[in-house]
Amino acid sequence: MAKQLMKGNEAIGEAAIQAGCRYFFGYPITPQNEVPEYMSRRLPEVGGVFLQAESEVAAINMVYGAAGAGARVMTSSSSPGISLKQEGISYIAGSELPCLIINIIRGGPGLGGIQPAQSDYFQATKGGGHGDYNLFVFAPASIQEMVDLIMESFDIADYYRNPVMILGDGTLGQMMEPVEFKAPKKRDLPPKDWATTGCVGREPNVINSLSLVAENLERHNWRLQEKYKHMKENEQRWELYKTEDAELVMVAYGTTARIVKSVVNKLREQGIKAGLLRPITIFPYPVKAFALLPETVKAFLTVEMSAGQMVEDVRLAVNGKNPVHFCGRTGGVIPTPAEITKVAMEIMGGEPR
Amino acid sequence: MKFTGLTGGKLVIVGAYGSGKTEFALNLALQIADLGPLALVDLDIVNPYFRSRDATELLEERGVEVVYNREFRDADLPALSARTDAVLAGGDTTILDVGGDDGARVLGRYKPLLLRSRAQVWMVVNCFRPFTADPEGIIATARRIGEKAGLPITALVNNSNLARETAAGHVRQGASIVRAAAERMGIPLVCHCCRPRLADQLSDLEDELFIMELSLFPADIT
Amino acid sequence: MKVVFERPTALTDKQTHYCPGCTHGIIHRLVAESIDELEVREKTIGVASVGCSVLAYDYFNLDMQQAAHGRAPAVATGIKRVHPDKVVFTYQGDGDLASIGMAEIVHAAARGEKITVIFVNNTIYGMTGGQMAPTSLVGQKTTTSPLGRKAEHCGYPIRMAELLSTLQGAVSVARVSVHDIPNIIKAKKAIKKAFETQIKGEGFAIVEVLSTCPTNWGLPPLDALKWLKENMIPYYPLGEYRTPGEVK
Repeated sequence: MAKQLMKGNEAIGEAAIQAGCRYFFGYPITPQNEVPEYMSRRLPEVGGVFLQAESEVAAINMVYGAAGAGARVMTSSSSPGISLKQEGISYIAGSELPCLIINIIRGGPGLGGIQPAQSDYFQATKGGGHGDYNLFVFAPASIQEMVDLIMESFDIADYYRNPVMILGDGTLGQMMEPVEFKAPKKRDLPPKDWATTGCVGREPNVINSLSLVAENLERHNWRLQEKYKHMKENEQRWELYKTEDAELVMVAYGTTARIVKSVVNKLREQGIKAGLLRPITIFPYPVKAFALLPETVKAFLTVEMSAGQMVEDVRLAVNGKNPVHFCGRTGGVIPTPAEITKVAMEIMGGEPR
Repeated sequence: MKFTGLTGGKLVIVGAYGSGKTEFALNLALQIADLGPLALVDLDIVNPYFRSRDATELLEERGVEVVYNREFRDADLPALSARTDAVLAGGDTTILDVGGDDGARVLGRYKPLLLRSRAQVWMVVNCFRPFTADPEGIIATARRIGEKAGLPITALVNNSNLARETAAGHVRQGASIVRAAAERMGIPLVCHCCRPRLADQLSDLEDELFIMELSLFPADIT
Repeated sequence: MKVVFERPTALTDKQTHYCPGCTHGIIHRLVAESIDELEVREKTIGVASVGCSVLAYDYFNLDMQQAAHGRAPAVATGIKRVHPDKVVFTYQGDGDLASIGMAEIVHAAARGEKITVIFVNNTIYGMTGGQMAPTSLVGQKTTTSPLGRKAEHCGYPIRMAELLSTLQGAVSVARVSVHDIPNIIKAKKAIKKAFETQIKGEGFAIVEVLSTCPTNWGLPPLDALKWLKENMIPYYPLGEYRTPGEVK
C-alpha cells in the first residue's frame, strides 16, 4: 500500500483494522473523535462492528465481553473518559483479556481542557484502576511509529493476554503525517482456547476476576507479576539520539521528545554535548537504556507536558548516580524549544567542568 | 492572478478531513489581503486544533478580519460567532473556512445568505488522503459534502501532498487525478498548491500554481 | 428403570452457596431447563453479575463471563456482537440491574440488543448483607433503612418491567414470581420464551422474577414466600408487559 497522509486519529483506526481488529466500542470525547468517526465508516466495510456505547463505562465493558469472546477489539478515549474506564480496565487485566486502549491525553485534572498533555503518565503506568496490575504501554512520537506500534499491539496483547495502551497526546492525534502500513514481525501466538465461544465438545470456559480465597488470589497475582517481569525482560524499547558522548541526557517521550530533539541539536550548536533518551515503552520502562549511556554523562533533564510524572521513573533508573532535573509545562501548554534550552544551559553552566 | 476575481465575493472552502482547507484558506487570505477589505470566517466546528483562528495575530497584522467566537478560542464548543451573519451580508471579500467532511453541515444555517451572495464553493483535494485517492472517491466526497452543505461544489483545488515528504511528482500525480475528477464533474480546477521549494519544478503545469508559504505543522516538532 | 427427575445438563453438579429457602436455586434450574429444552447449551454464553448470584459461573455448565457490578448488559453486548449466532444471557439482581447498572440495562434494551436478561428482584442487597435496594418497598426495613424505607427521603421503588416496556427495543418483557408451584410453571414458560425471542432474532428480552431473601428479610422460608405474595405482587404486578410482534 502506498504512503498516505493521515491524521493521527485516523491512522489509529486504520492500523487497528489492518491488524485484524474488527470491533470498536467507544464514546465521543475531544480530541480523539476522529477515531470513532473513522471506525464507524471503515469497520462495516470490512465486516466489523462499530458501536457507540452509552458511556465510557459501558464501552470498556463491551470490550471486556468481546475480548472474552475471543475477538480483536479496541476502545479509544481521552483523559476524563479513560478515568471512567478504569474499573473495566482493572477487570480486563484481572481476567487477562487482550485488547487495545487508546488514550489521546488532554489537560486535566477534572474536565480540564482540550489541549495536548502528558499528565496521565501515572495513571497509565502505575495502575489507574484498583489492584496489582500493569498495562503494557507504548508512547509513540510520530504517526508512523504509532501505526507500527498499534499493528504490533494486538499481537502483544494476545501473546501476554494483557491489555495494551497507546498513550498519545492531543497533538499526535490531531496532526497529519505520511504513513504506510507494514505487517509487523510475526509472533508465535497461543490459540485462544480460553475464550467463551460456546462449549462445543469441551468443558465450559469462564472469564473471571473473582477469587474469594486469599491464597488463590495471591497465587493469581504472582502469576500476573511473572508476566510483567517477562515483559520487563523482553519488551523494553527506546531510542537513543546523540548520546555517544553526551554530558546532558534529556529524557522525553511522545511529541515532547520531538521538540527535545530539536533542542539537542541547538545545544550542540552551542557546544553543549546533549543527547536524547526517548522511551518508546513506558511500561515496561526502558531502564536498560540507562545502562547503555556513556560515563561522560553528568546530568539528566526530563521534559514532559505534565507537572513531573515520568521524572520519577528516570530517578529510579538513574538511582542517584547523577542529578535528575525537570522541565515541564502542564494543563495543555506545549513547552517551547527556547524555554527547554534555557533550563538545559542553566544546568550545564552550573555543573563543574 | 485569477484570485483578483474574488474581490467583494464570498468564497466557501470545503473538503474532506485533512485535505488542507485551512492551510489553503490562510495562504489565500494572506495573498489577497492587499486587494481590499477581507474577512476570514473560521467555521470549523469539528477540529479542536490547527484552525484558522490559530493564525489570528498573523492575519490581523495584514489587516484581515478573523471571525470566530473570541471568548471561546480553545473551547470544546462549536459556539459560532454572531459576527458571521454581518460579514456575509456585507460587501467585504469573505473566505469561509469550513470543517472537514460533515463539518460542512454548518453551512446549512447560512444557506440563504450564501445563495443571495452567489457564493463560490471550492473543494480542496489531497489525493494522498484516504477516501479521495481517485476521481471516484473525489466525486463521492464532493457529493456528500455538497449535500451536507446544501450547496453544490463549484470548483476543485489540487492540494495533493505528503507533508514534509512531498515531491513535485506527488503534485503532478494529484494534478491528473483532480483534473480528471473536475472534468467529469463539469467544474473548473482552480489551481495546484505547492510549497515554495517545489515551485520551479512545477512551472509547466497547465493550470495556475498556488504557492503556499505558511504551514500549520508545528514548527518545533522535528 | 425410568428416570423421572434429573439435573439439567446446563447445570453443573456443584452444590450452590445459596441459603436454604432462597429461590435463586429454582430460577437457576428454570434457566437451565429452558436451555436444555431448546438444545442450545453448547452455543450459550452466560454473564454472571455482582450480587448473590456472582458465582453463577460455577453453577451453569456452559461458557460464562463474570461482569463488573451493573455492567452485565454491556459485557453481553460485546459478546453478542462478536457471536451473533450464539445465545447470550445475563443473570442479574436488583441492586446490579436497577441501581448501579441502570444505564447499561436501559441502553441495551433501547438498542434492542438480542440478549436475554434474567432479572431477580428480591427487594434487597443480599450479597452485602441486607441493605436497601432500588426495589425495596416503602416501609421495608433494611440495614440502611432501619426505620423502614421512607418515600420522602429516598423515593419510591422502581418498577423495571414497566419502565423497560416503554422502550421500543425491548420486545419481550414479563414479570413472574416463584412463590408457589403454579407461578413457577408460569415463570418457566416466560424464561423459555425469552430465550426463544433471542433465538428467533426478535430482539431484547427480559424476565423479572420476584424472589425471596429469607436470610436478610429475617423470615422463615415459607413466611418469606407469603411475604412476597402479599407485599411484592401488589406493587409489582405479574404479567406480560411486552410480547414480540406487539405493535405499540
